[in-house]
Amino acid sequence: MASTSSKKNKKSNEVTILCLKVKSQDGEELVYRAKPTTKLSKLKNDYCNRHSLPINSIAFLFDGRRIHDEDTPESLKMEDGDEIDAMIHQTGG
Amino acid sequence: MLSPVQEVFLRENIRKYLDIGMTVFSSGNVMVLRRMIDEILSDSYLDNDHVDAFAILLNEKSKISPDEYQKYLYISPMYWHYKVKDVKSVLILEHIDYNSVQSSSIIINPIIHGEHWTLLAGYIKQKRWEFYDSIPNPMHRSIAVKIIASLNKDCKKAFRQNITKWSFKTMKKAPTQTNNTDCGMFVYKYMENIVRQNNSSWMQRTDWQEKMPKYRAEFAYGLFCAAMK
Repeated sequence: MASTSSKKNKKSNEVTILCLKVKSQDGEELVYRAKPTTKLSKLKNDYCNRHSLPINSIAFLFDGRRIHDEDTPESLKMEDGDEIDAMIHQTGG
Repeated sequence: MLSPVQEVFLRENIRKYLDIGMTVFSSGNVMVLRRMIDEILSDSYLDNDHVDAFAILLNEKSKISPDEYQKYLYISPMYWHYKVKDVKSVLILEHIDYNSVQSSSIIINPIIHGEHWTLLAGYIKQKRWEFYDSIPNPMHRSIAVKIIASLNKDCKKAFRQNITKWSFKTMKKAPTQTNNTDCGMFVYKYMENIVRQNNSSWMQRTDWQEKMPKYRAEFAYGLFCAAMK
């Protein structure tokens, strides 16, 4: 018993979950819970699906910088509660 | 047209990127996916990443042969967009300071507004703004005036003068488009020609529209060349 509970404790210590806020251009916010090692492209794809947008028609920005598909919260040194801006590409003809 | 060798190069490279989501070219905040190359080569609209990527190519060219190009400052079209949406726009202006303004002669800022591309060019020594619009319409210029006003506010220290007081002129004689999709391409041809040295005859050109497929192919070719480096 004791060993399993200590195992559990160990596990919860290891895996921290971050809450990341994705803010759209009109101010609407969506909160994602992600592991530090989750690729942010996963969030982006989900975000596009939820908003019925074609994948890659939006860019995620963190502190004004573009988030690349292979980036993770860890690689960008994101903290709990950080905000991501979702920008729709601007096209014109 | 591109030479046969260049055409083969272009085709081979497109084939390499099987998935339309694959990244072909990436630099800083700019990312060009295979899908976007297809957009260049078809008749499609261009987006902000296309225009920024073109500015990067132009910058490379001007570095290779500095004698052929005037010194210019590029402001991304996303400056205004980020500003309006209250996203950090400082990044886009961080290269603009007193020294860079003093050593440049032109500011170029493509503008995307209401799904239409236009170009704002500022001549620093002459204290003059020029506005290029490939579908001439007085409605389009109002946005340029707003952008100048906020640039004036955001880059006060860089300019050390009131840039809203510069003269403002819409260039009525610049080449114009006859279809509904090429304004992004026109903006980039304007940029390319404005920053070239001793180059004033381009304003009289009337063949841009018919040469657009060629210019589009050249743009895609240039992106693949840059991606190989």
